[in-house]
Amino acid sequence: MHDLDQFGRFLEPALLILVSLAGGPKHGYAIMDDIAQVCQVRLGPGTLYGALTRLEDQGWIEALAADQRRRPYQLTDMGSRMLHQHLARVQQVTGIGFQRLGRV
Amino acid sequence: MKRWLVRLYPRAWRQRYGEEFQAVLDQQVLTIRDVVDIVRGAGDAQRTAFAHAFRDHFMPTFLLTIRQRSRQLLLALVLVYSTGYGTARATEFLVHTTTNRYTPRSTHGIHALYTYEMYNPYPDMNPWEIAYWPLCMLESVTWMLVDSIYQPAA
Repeated sequence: MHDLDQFGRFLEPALLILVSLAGGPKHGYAIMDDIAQVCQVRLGPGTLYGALTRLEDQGWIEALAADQRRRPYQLTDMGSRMLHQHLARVQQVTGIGFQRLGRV
Repeated sequence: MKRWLVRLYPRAWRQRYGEEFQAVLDQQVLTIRDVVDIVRGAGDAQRTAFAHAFRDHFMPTFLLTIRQRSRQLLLALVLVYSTGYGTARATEFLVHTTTNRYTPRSTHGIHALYTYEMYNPYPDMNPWEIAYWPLCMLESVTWMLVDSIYQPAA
Protein backbone atom coordinates (compact mmCIF):
# COMPACT_ATOMS: atom_id res chain seq x y z
CA MET A 1 0.00 0.00 0.00
CA HIS A 2 1.18 3.50 -0.83
CA ASP A 3 1.88 5.33 2.44
CA LEU A 4 -0.30 8.32 1.59
CA ASP A 5 -3.24 5.95 1.16
CA GLN A 6 -3.36 5.49 4.95
CA PHE A 7 -4.44 9.11 5.38
CA GLY A 8 -8.12 8.38 4.67
CA ARG A 9 -10.10 11.61 4.19
CA PHE A 10 -6.88 13.61 4.71
CA LEU A 11 -5.19 12.14 1.61
CA GLU A 12 -6.07 14.94 -0.79
CA PRO A 13 -5.41 17.79 1.71
CA ALA A 14 -2.07 16.17 2.64
CA LEU A 15 -1.09 15.98 -1.02
CA LEU A 16 -2.03 19.64 -1.56
CA ILE A 17 0.02 20.65 1.51
CA LEU A 18 3.05 18.73 0.23
CA VAL A 19 2.70 20.44 -3.16
CA SER A 20 2.41 23.82 -1.43
CA LEU A 21 5.49 23.21 0.74
CA ALA A 22 7.44 22.04 -2.32
CA GLY A 23 7.52 25.75 -3.19
CA GLY A 24 9.25 26.61 0.10
CA PRO A 25 8.52 26.75 3.86
CA LYS A 26 5.14 28.23 4.88
CA HIS A 27 3.07 28.62 8.03
CA GLY A 28 -0.53 27.37 8.40
CA TYR A 29 -2.42 30.36 7.00
CA ALA A 30 0.06 30.80 4.11
CA ILE A 31 -0.43 27.14 3.16
CA MET A 32 -4.23 27.63 3.09
CA ASP A 33 -3.81 30.77 1.01
CA ASP A 34 -1.39 29.14 -1.44
CA ILE A 35 -3.64 26.11 -1.95
CA ALA A 36 -6.65 28.38 -2.49
CA GLN A 37 -4.76 30.36 -5.17
CA VAL A 38 -3.00 27.50 -6.97
CA CYS A 39 -5.59 24.72 -6.74
CA GLN A 40 -8.82 26.73 -6.16
CA VAL A 41 -9.50 24.53 -3.12
CA ARG A 42 -10.22 26.12 0.25
CA LEU A 43 -9.06 23.85 3.10
CA GLY A 44 -10.87 24.28 6.40
CA PRO A 45 -8.64 24.89 9.46
CA GLY A 46 -9.61 21.52 11.00
CA THR A 47 -8.74 19.65 7.81
CA LEU A 48 -5.49 21.61 7.37
CA TYR A 49 -4.25 20.77 10.87
CA GLY A 50 -5.54 17.18 10.69
CA ALA A 51 -3.37 16.64 7.61
CA LEU A 52 -0.42 18.65 8.99
CA THR A 53 -0.40 16.53 12.17
CA ARG A 54 -0.30 13.32 10.15
CA LEU A 55 2.39 14.58 7.80
CA GLU A 56 4.57 15.60 10.74
CA ASP A 57 3.97 12.25 12.50
CA GLN A 58 5.13 10.46 9.34
CA GLY A 59 8.24 12.66 9.17
CA TRP A 60 7.36 14.06 5.73
CA ILE A 61 7.30 17.66 6.95
CA GLU A 62 9.07 19.35 9.85
CA ALA A 63 8.34 22.44 11.91
CA LEU A 64 10.81 25.32 11.88
CA ALA A 65 11.35 27.82 14.70
CA ALA A 66 8.15 29.73 15.52
CA ASP A 67 7.81 33.28 14.20
CA GLN A 68 5.74 34.87 17.02
CA ARG A 69 2.58 32.74 17.10
CA ARG A 70 3.06 31.34 13.61
CA ARG A 71 5.13 28.22 12.96
CA PRO A 72 6.42 27.54 9.43
CA TYR A 73 6.75 24.02 8.03
CA GLN A 74 9.07 22.64 5.39
CA LEU A 75 9.32 19.40 3.38
CA THR A 76 11.80 16.81 4.61
CA ASP A 77 13.84 14.65 2.22
CA MET A 78 11.51 11.76 2.89
CA GLY A 79 8.47 13.96 2.23
CA SER A 80 10.03 15.15 -0.99
CA ARG A 81 10.64 11.56 -2.16
CA MET A 82 7.10 10.56 -1.19
CA LEU A 83 5.58 13.49 -3.09
CA HIS A 84 7.70 12.64 -6.13
CA GLN A 85 6.55 8.99 -6.09
CA HIS A 86 2.91 9.94 -5.64
CA LEU A 87 2.95 12.55 -8.41
CA ALA A 88 4.64 10.08 -10.76
CA ARG A 89 1.88 7.59 -10.06
CA VAL A 90 -0.84 10.21 -10.57
CA GLN A 91 0.87 11.30 -13.82
CA GLN A 92 0.90 7.72 -15.08
CA VAL A 93 -2.80 7.25 -14.32
CA THR A 94 -3.64 10.66 -15.80
CA GLY A 95 -1.72 9.80 -19.00
CA ILE A 96 -3.56 6.51 -19.44
CA GLY A 97 -6.88 8.25 -18.70
CA PHE A 98 -6.32 10.94 -21.38
CA GLN A 99 -5.09 8.32 -23.85
CA ARG A 100 -8.24 6.24 -23.39
CA LEU A 101 -10.50 9.29 -23.52
CA GLY A 102 -8.83 10.24 -26.81
CA ARG A 103 -9.86 6.91 -28.30
CA VAL A 104 -13.51 7.44 -27.27
CA MET B 1 -15.87 31.36 20.26
CA LYS B 2 -12.50 30.66 18.59
CA ARG B 3 -10.84 29.85 21.92
CA TRP B 4 -13.72 27.52 22.73
CA LEU B 5 -13.23 25.73 19.40
CA VAL B 6 -9.51 25.24 20.12
CA ARG B 7 -10.42 23.79 23.52
CA LEU B 8 -12.29 20.97 21.76
CA TYR B 9 -8.91 19.48 20.84
CA PRO B 10 -7.02 17.16 23.24
CA ARG B 11 -4.65 18.80 25.75
CA ALA B 12 -1.47 17.26 24.26
CA TRP B 13 -2.48 18.44 20.78
CA ARG B 14 -3.17 21.97 22.09
CA GLN B 15 0.23 22.10 23.77
CA ARG B 16 1.90 21.34 20.44
CA TYR B 17 -0.36 23.06 17.87
CA GLY B 18 -2.75 25.19 19.95
CA GLU B 19 -1.04 28.56 19.61
CA GLU B 20 -0.41 28.41 15.86
CA PHE B 21 -3.91 26.97 15.27
CA GLN B 22 -5.36 29.88 17.23
CA ALA B 23 -3.26 32.26 15.10
CA VAL B 24 -4.69 30.70 11.90
CA LEU B 25 -8.24 31.09 13.24
CA ASP B 26 -7.57 34.72 14.29
CA GLN B 27 -6.53 35.57 10.73
CA GLN B 28 -9.91 34.74 9.21
CA VAL B 29 -13.64 35.18 9.66
CA LEU B 30 -15.04 31.74 10.38
CA THR B 31 -18.02 30.48 8.40
CA ILE B 32 -20.43 27.76 9.54
CA ARG B 33 -18.55 25.40 7.24
CA ASP B 34 -15.27 26.25 9.03
CA VAL B 35 -16.84 25.61 12.43
CA VAL B 36 -18.13 22.20 11.28
CA ASP B 37 -14.68 21.45 9.83
CA ILE B 38 -12.98 22.36 13.15
CA VAL B 39 -15.42 20.24 15.16
CA ARG B 40 -14.75 17.30 12.81
CA GLY B 41 -11.01 17.89 13.10
CA ALA B 42 -11.26 17.99 16.91
CA GLY B 43 -13.21 14.71 16.89
CA ASP B 44 -10.52 13.16 14.72
CA ALA B 45 -7.75 14.45 17.03
CA GLN B 46 -9.59 13.10 20.10
CA ARG B 47 -9.96 9.68 18.44
CA THR B 48 -6.29 9.62 17.44
CA ALA B 49 -5.18 10.67 20.95
CA PHE B 50 -7.35 7.94 22.47
CA ALA B 51 -5.97 5.32 20.06
CA HIS B 52 -2.37 6.38 20.88
CA ALA B 53 -3.05 6.30 24.64
CA PHE B 54 -4.64 2.86 24.29
CA ARG B 55 -1.70 1.55 22.24
CA ASP B 56 1.04 3.11 24.42
CA HIS B 57 -0.33 2.69 27.94
CA PHE B 58 -3.30 0.39 28.25
CA MET B 59 -2.31 -2.42 25.87
CA PRO B 60 1.24 -3.04 27.24
CA THR B 61 -0.06 -3.03 30.83
CA PHE B 62 -2.95 -5.30 29.90
CA LEU B 63 -0.78 -7.78 27.99
CA LEU B 64 1.89 -7.74 30.72
CA THR B 65 -0.74 -8.46 33.36
CA ILE B 66 -2.07 -11.39 31.35
CA ARG B 67 1.45 -12.73 30.82
CA GLN B 68 2.52 -12.31 34.45
CA ARG B 69 -0.73 -13.59 35.87
CA SER B 70 -1.44 -16.35 33.35
CA ARG B 71 -1.34 -19.15 35.97
CA GLN B 72 -3.56 -17.28 38.39
CA LEU B 73 -5.98 -16.36 35.59
CA LEU B 74 -6.16 -19.96 34.39
CA LEU B 75 -6.69 -21.17 37.96
CA ALA B 76 -9.39 -18.54 38.52
CA LEU B 77 -11.10 -19.59 35.27
CA VAL B 78 -11.06 -23.28 36.26
CA LEU B 79 -12.26 -22.44 39.78
CA VAL B 80 -15.06 -20.21 38.60
CA TYR B 81 -16.13 -22.75 36.02
CA SER B 82 -15.90 -25.77 38.30
CA THR B 83 -17.58 -23.99 41.22
CA GLY B 84 -20.48 -22.89 39.07
CA TYR B 85 -20.69 -26.21 37.31
CA GLY B 86 -20.28 -28.17 40.53
CA THR B 87 -23.04 -26.19 42.23
CA ALA B 88 -25.37 -26.73 39.29
CA ARG B 89 -24.64 -30.45 39.13
CA ALA B 90 -24.92 -30.82 42.91
CA THR B 91 -28.32 -29.12 42.87
CA GLU B 92 -29.38 -31.35 40.00
CA PHE B 93 -28.14 -34.42 41.86
CA LEU B 94 -29.94 -33.43 45.08
CA VAL B 95 -33.20 -32.73 43.28
CA HIS B 96 -32.89 -35.99 41.38
CA THR B 97 -32.23 -38.09 44.45
CA THR B 98 -34.92 -36.43 46.58
CA THR B 99 -37.70 -36.23 44.00
CA ASN B 100 -36.61 -39.20 41.88
CA ARG B 101 -36.92 -37.20 38.63
CA TYR B 102 -34.43 -35.52 36.35
CA THR B 103 -34.38 -31.72 36.26
CA PRO B 104 -34.06 -30.13 32.85
CA ARG B 105 -30.86 -28.25 32.16
CA SER B 106 -30.82 -24.53 32.68
CA THR B 107 -31.24 -22.31 29.67
CA HIS B 108 -29.08 -19.63 31.31
CA GLY B 109 -25.37 -19.21 31.82
CA ILE B 110 -22.92 -21.83 30.60
CA HIS B 111 -25.61 -24.49 30.06
CA ALA B 112 -27.28 -22.25 27.53
CA LEU B 113 -24.35 -23.08 25.23
CA TYR B 114 -25.66 -26.63 24.84
CA THR B 115 -29.22 -25.46 24.33
CA TYR B 116 -28.05 -22.83 21.87
CA GLU B 117 -26.24 -25.38 19.77
CA MET B 118 -29.16 -27.76 19.90
CA TYR B 119 -31.62 -25.16 18.52
CA ASN B 120 -29.20 -23.12 16.43
CA PRO B 121 -30.49 -23.19 12.85
CA TYR B 122 -27.09 -21.96 11.57
CA PRO B 123 -24.51 -24.28 13.17
CA ASP B 124 -21.66 -22.90 11.01
CA MET B 125 -22.25 -19.45 12.47
CA ASN B 126 -22.31 -20.48 16.15
CA PRO B 127 -20.55 -17.60 17.93
CA TRP B 128 -20.05 -19.75 21.04
CA GLU B 129 -17.98 -22.35 19.23
CA ILE B 130 -14.63 -21.01 20.39
CA ALA B 131 -15.75 -21.04 24.02
CA TYR B 132 -17.74 -24.22 23.63
CA TRP B 133 -15.03 -26.75 22.77
CA PRO B 134 -12.66 -26.08 25.71
CA LEU B 135 -15.68 -26.13 28.02
CA CYS B 136 -16.79 -29.46 26.55
CA MET B 137 -13.33 -30.90 27.06
CA LEU B 138 -13.25 -29.61 30.62
CA GLU B 139 -16.66 -31.09 31.27
CA SER B 140 -15.63 -34.48 29.87
CA VAL B 141 -12.58 -34.57 32.14
CA THR B 142 -14.67 -33.47 35.14
CA TRP B 143 -17.22 -36.19 34.51
CA MET B 144 -14.57 -38.86 33.96
CA LEU B 145 -13.25 -37.97 37.41
CA VAL B 146 -16.74 -37.87 38.94
CA ASP B 147 -17.70 -41.21 37.36
CA SER B 148 -14.51 -42.84 38.58
CA ILE B 149 -15.29 -41.79 42.17
CA TYR B 150 -19.07 -41.96 42.34
CA GLN B 151 -20.74 -45.25 41.47
CA PRO B 152 -24.54 -44.97 41.74
CA ALA B 153 -26.45 -47.93 43.02
CA ALA B 154 -28.09 -49.95 40.28
